[in-house]
Amino acid sequence: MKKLKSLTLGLFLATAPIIAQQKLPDNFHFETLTNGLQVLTIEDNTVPLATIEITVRNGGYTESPEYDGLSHLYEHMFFKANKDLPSQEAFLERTKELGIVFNGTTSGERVNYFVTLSNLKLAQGMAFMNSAIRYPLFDEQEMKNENPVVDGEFQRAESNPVFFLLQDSDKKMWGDLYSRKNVIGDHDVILTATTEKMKTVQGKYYHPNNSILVVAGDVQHEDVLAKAKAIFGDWQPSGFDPFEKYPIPEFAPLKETTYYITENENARTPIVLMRYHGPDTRKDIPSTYAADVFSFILSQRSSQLQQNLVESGLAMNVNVGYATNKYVGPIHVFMVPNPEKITEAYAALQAEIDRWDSDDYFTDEQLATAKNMLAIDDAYSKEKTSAFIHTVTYWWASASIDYYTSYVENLNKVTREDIKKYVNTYIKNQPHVTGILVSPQMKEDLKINSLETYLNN
Amino acid sequence: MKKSIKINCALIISMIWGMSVFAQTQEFDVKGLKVIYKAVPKQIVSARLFVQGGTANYPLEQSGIEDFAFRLAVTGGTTSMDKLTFSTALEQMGTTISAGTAYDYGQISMKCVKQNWDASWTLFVETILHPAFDEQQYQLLQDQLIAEAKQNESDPDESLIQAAMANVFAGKNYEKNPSGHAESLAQLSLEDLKKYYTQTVGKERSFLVIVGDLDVNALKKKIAASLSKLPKGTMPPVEDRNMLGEISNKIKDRDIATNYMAGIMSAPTLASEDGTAMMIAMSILSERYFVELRTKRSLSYAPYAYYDNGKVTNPFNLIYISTTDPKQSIQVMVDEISKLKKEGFSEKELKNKKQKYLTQFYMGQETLDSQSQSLGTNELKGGWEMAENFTERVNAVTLEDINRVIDKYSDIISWTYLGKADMVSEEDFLQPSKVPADAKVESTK
Repeated sequence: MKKLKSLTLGLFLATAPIIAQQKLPDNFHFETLTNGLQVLTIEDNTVPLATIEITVRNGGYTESPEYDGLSHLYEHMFFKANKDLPSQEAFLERTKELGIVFNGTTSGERVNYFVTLSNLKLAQGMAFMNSAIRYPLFDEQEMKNENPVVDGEFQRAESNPVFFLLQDSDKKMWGDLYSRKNVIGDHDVILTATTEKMKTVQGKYYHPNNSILVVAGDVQHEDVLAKAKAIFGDWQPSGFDPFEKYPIPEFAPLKETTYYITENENARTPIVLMRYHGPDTRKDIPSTYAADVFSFILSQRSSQLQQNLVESGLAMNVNVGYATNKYVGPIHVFMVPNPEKITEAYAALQAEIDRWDSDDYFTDEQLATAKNMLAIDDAYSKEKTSAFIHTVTYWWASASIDYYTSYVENLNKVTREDIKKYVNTYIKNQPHVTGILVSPQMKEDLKINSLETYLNN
Repeated sequence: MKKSIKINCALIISMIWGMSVFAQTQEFDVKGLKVIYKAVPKQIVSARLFVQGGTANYPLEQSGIEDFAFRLAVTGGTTSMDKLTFSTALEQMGTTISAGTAYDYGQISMKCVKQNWDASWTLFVETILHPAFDEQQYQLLQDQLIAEAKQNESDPDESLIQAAMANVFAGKNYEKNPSGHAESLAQLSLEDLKKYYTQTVGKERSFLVIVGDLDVNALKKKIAASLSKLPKGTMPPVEDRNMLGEISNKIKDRDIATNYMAGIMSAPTLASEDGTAMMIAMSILSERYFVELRTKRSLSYAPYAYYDNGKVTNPFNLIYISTTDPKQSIQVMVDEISKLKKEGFSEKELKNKKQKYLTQFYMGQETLDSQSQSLGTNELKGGWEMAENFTERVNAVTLEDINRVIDKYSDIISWTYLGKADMVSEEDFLQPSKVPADAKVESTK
């Protein structure tokens, strides 16, 4: 099921789907303040902690090329000077005084900020978050200092060769709108970012009516709501819907299949990556559910995919997944082929894909097991409230809270026909982007000049 | 020697925190197998069989053998169930059985929902007692592990840590990479794995940790009928601690976008009188690095320092950074340690750090998996009780304690560098300034 696409190399994350209804679990309490700020309390008294998260609908998808990477830089500036804590040192000192564990992440369709602390310090924690989200100073010197830090995070990613395989794929997948999916950004844009640009991001997206406040842990929802009203109630709404005023351009469908080679001298073993444009939560919610169920069918050891690729020795690893997005979720097939049998492995993979819509491709038992696995995974994820909160906000940003709370119920409704429709609409005979990561030596040894020719002959 | 039964209720006593985590942890013996059981009223059960020794159990040329053997045991089917039948049964229940290895121990673990406990336990036991060790599965897994090892080599963080361990612990157990490398894995035969498993997985060097909501008497009966039938086995060989008294620096050339460095220093064991203070001292140093290296100087996205007590027999302190300016970074990192040796920490730093540790402690109590891991690893470090009296130990640490340990264990740093080799030279690997033995450590109270 869904996972969180943060700024790491672990971008291959299966994700999950949606639907709209108003049934919330007993420990969920949802309200919307008059300024549009949504407030969700998740009560769980396992340990005496409170996790406070503010999530904003911002991220890669809001970035034109000249803002490529600035949602992420903005996220870093949250942890710096604000009206009440006038320097980063003061900010950090306050986190220490409160015993706070904190972080933030930026992804394609979400930026979230979260702190965990003693439940007895809930009010101080909420006030701390309020100062940071509403009153950042974007101090020029702190901006200047932070640019190379964010760039350093970028350089760490670039030190792993898989990063380049993904970036090359993204460029071909998204074309002119590459910046809208390139969360980590562009070096030059990051290093030349200005306070004005940060204020532009703030003016567009950082409003209560584009945000959700979630408080989870050993707390009482009435108390949380009262504190939310008192602390965040005077946060002025924008008066506009950011996504109507600044619409996200539509990603053009892939017109043809393209192949590429990513050459990196630090690659130690070949890796093949195939990607397709998948469904999204605006246009095809049922297929997002089908995608998750099908991914879990394919992950089972008994699946034909695993049997014919991994158990046969053609591949060391093969993983298929879908990332639930509001704007075209990508489907990926990630394969580490046996280095001696790359073309055989690819041919076998193609043969599998060709049969993904066959009536006998998976059994009823495998279908039922996939649904059960997803449901139990969901139960496991709820065990750790301080992390589960991020799952909930992921769904809020890329779908809706209702999508998530009815997730398991809707998975159970997925039929064999739904999966066939998903496969035929988005994968089988559809254009895709396929790449291979190799070192210069491997490329020479394997005599790969054109990947298309190499794989298909 | 611990008492055979110990019950800890109401773990956390702190005026700062409003309530306690209620739990009952007890230790008992079932026909020679030590069991640690913690009752937690949740609908999930976590079980782990810890096997002591880790890198002490095999020679350098067999690096990776424990990981290979244990993973083959849990993924390759059993003598009564083929691999596919076994994995399908697990998948249908949403139960996971996995294996892992570290420098001082290996483990086979299982997580399930309570309603599937009985059936899951049966599979857990079956895989431990009767692994198939099938030739075909062995070959498949060997290829997969070699591919994984190669991928790990291309990851700079993995590569740096392995290089640092091999550098600092040359000739010692910790020189061995528990996951193995392509060459060592390629040489391990199926017979090697079977022999290793048979000789290692015995009651003398193993213990079981279970966390969940179970009937204790029924649990004891289950264990008596299954895992207590493991062979008695032997204790692992013991290696003397290495206090890292000599400087050993190493430069590993790699053309990558930034450069990675680790500095390793001596450290006490967690159970010793210096252990908890060391943990706090290094954690505060890490915060100072964040401020000095990242916030003030923009030298790095990721500077940190920590006391690695997860290395049970030979804990060490580690300072780390990824940076495009290694020379200046080393200077600042070393200066911060020298400053501490001269001036010490402040009372406020200690007070604040204790607060944060309490938050982190509770975050570690959220899942039963993390609780069972904590009980097991603390048992290895000196006693599972340390997992439960964590806050008392933290609260007992004084300013004098953390000033003492940072001075005592930070005289010598061995550096390992992974990145562009022409950006550093041997003389760049600085050492902290020593404070004269008769100098008085100043503290800000």
